[in-house]
Amino acid sequence: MERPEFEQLALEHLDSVFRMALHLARNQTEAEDIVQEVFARAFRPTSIQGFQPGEDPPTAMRAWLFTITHNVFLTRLKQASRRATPVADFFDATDNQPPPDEPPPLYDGQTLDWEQVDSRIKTAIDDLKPEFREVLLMWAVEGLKYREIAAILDVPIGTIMSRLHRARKILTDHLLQDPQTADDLGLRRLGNPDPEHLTR
Amino acid sequence: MNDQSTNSNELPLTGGAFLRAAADGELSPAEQARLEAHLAANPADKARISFETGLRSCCCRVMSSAKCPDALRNRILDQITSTDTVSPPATRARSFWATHGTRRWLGAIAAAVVLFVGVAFVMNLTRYGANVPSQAQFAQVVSYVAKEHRECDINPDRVRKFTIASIEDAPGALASIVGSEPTVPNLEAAGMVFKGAGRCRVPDGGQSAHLRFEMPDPDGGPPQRLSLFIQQRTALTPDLDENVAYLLTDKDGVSYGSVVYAWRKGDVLYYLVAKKLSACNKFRDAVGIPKTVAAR
Repeated sequence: MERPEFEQLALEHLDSVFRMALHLARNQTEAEDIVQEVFARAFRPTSIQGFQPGEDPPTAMRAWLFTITHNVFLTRLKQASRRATPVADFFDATDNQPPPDEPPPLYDGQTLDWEQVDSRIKTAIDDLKPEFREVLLMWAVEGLKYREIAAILDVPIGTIMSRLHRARKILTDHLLQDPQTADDLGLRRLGNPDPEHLTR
Repeated sequence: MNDQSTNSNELPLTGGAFLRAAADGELSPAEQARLEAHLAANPADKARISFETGLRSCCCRVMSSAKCPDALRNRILDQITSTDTVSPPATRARSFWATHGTRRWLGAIAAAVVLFVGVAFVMNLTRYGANVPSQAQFAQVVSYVAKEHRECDINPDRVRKFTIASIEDAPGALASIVGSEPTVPNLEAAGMVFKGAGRCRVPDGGQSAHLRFEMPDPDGGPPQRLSLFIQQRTALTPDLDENVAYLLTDKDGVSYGSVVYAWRKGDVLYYLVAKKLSACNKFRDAVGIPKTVAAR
């Protein structure tokens, strides 16, 4: 791929890379540093030569930039030795356990006010561990499939499903933790988790 | 239960994981059929799937609001530009003439041929009465139009300047910018789509405007975007002959890999910019700009 075409393709994903960096770092300045480093790495001549556009160059480029972003963030995390952030969580690639069986909650969709949920859930997302936010972002905003996220993060699909389940559960629990909040949102539970009827 | 198909899951899906995978569109056709049978027997689970879908949309709304700040975007563009124009590190190589015995004569002959062809080319242009402007005259303009063309591809803020949305409105609106009525091609018949036009600031001259077009790639690749800059002729604009199109090549790295043609019609200068020469040529053929080409 020629350099101008490569640059154009890469820069189309600037917003996505910035979002991912921001949700990982939770700090605007640090996110900007990460993005600059990502693009500095991406535009190295050896990187351009090594990029495999495949059949769908935009998708390949986005996945490739996300991988670099993830790695840049991890490197910075490791370098920041004073921080007690659990780096090991990111490398916990061996938990290829079956995804959790607990079914999603059963709520009355007629009463639920999603616009109110938006503002409430923002805090909960900010409080998630970075590895959950990262998966959540790729899944919800970028619309990536489990296997695509797994390939980017180089972890088994089971890990992605597990992280997604845990992230979603944390968000839902956040909405339910205060009965008044749940009531304000119209979050009315219709039933309890009952995995038995789904198990074959 | 989990027959391998389009589904990305290689793990057996049961219970909640099955419903969440359904909400995420991750089921194989066989699993999808199983889901439909399941929902027929357990209609309440539709609400569970619906909640998961709603939660995903909610996360998307909340997390997608962040956009790359303009300052950061500009820093990265500058970073690329400086990388583009950085020369490779100088190395101390042994002289060609000192190391390549008989091959130096071949080199000398090749150089003589190139010189001969060059002289013949210039004489040919002289016959047309073409004035070939110097690099210095063009450098600033080429740098500007090529950079502006590229930034409109990658920076959404840049395209806000295109206030003229319709090709029908363009001639009148552009005439008010550049003084005299410019040639504004309507190229729909040639498969080219007008994407907008607006005022810009081409250096070294009078008022100027930028028009954008999109066309299918003549080589079968992704759609190609073209920019046509028009500029009022003044004493400061490059001195172009009227029946010549000038091909401004990327000799000094100022055109960011783009192809730039320049020509003049009356008191208006035109600069055509595209990534591919084939796209430029298709535009040239459709518009009928001068066929005689002088290379800068």
